[in-house]
Amino acid sequence: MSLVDISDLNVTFRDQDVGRHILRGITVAIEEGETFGLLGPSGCGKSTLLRVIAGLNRDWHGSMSLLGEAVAPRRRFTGKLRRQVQMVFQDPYASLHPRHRIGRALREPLVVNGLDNPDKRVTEALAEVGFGPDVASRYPHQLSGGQRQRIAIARALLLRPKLLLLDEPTSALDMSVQAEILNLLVTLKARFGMSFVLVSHDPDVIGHMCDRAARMAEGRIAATFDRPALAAGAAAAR
Amino acid sequence: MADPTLLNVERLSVRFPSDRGPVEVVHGISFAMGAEKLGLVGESGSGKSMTARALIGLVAKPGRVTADRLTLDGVDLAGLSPRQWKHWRGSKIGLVLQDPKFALDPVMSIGRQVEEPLKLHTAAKKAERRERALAMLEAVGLPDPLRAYHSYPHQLSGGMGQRVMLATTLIAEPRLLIADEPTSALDRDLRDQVLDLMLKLVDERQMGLILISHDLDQVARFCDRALVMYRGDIVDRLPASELANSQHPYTKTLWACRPSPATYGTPLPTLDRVRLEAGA
Repeated sequence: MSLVDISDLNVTFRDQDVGRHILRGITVAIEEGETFGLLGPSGCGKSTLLRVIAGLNRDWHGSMSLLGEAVAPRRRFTGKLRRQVQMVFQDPYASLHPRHRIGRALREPLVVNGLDNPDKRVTEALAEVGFGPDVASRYPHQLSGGQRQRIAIARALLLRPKLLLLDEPTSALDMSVQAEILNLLVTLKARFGMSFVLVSHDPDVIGHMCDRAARMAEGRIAATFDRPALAAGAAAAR
Repeated sequence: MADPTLLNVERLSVRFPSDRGPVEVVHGISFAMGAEKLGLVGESGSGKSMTARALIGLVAKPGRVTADRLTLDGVDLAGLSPRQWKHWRGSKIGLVLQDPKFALDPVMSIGRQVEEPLKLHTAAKKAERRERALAMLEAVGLPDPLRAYHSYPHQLSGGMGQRVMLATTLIAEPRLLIADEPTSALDRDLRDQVLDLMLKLVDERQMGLILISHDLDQVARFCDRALVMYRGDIVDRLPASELANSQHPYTKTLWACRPSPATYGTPLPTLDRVRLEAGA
């Protein structure tokens, strides 16, 4: 069974009493251990699809199973799913509380899930992304964009997810910092045996990172690419 | 260089006071350019945007700009009063910023924003201003100039907003255009379109262009020469087409760290910051 199994997924938003069909009959399977890319122009629905898989957008129709568990629409994720599916957002400044120190931001998921030894786990998580323990006492605005994104990755990894959802994780960063973050993601994926879904509008990032990818357009999957196709530059072609 | 010098910069520094004494963010850099396309590249925080702001007299207080020489078309910019800057800014130097969402006035119609430089810098009458604004909107490739003239920034897409910003900058026919990451807020497909347009307009008007970008590939494709900045210094100067072959470790890594389908499964090169700092 696939790690993510989605069939005939539809999402509609209401915009001034007019229904807008955001996702139109998406069917996709993502296998354990792979990095699956989603690319397409702004507004094609790739971020919405990611938010459905993350359990953030619960208003959908169709069928979905995650990590072997059937998921029903309009239900919050609980238990295993809630821990094992984690997300990293595009702008780490918007996803870290500006008035919480890094240590507090990282301790929160541990406390919510009742895990023991939070301080030790926070220190370990910081070390995994290349920070010393002293970073815990800083505020987000005292870090650079790349450092903040490493913190966001550390937070997502605290609960040892099986599936990590990455929404444009490097598009707000310099090319040189992007390289550091992409390397870090590849290393951590191998170390913790994760699977990735990576949303990016940059076909070069998709080509570098992904085993398979789908191009989306107007709420549909317009094409899927396997590794040979990606290696041949299919993601960049239009 | 065959061109007569348009811009001449000698030992330009920008300093900000801090609790621990002044912090210098641009360290006495020097360069000269003619009516050519110059790329200014480097990471965030390397001082490239601050250099641009110093050139157009927009370093906010308490920042201080000093230079041994800062001339545009033979006129000394370093000695300008704020009042004189108002005349020069816009009429001789134009600035295009990254994101039209923030750079355009949200409650002023596009037409008025495009006309504003004419109002400030020329004696053109109302009817002439309108005519020139419409012609400019057409020149930047807006499909329906009259409709754009009457619309407001929120009614435009990012690519259209960037074209409007270009129109507001070019209408007063400045000699030098500074474009600070003009395409990084745009979708990839739109980037080349907007840059192609900018370059065409710069060529037609025989202006100088300083393109600030962290995308070395973009600079290599669109510029004549490149200056590479690192922590407030120019560390590398070369023809833009040679960026791929630079021997400088910083430029080399910036070029090579781009991901691509060919780098799949291999770690991307990253900057050895410790060594770079020891070398600098």
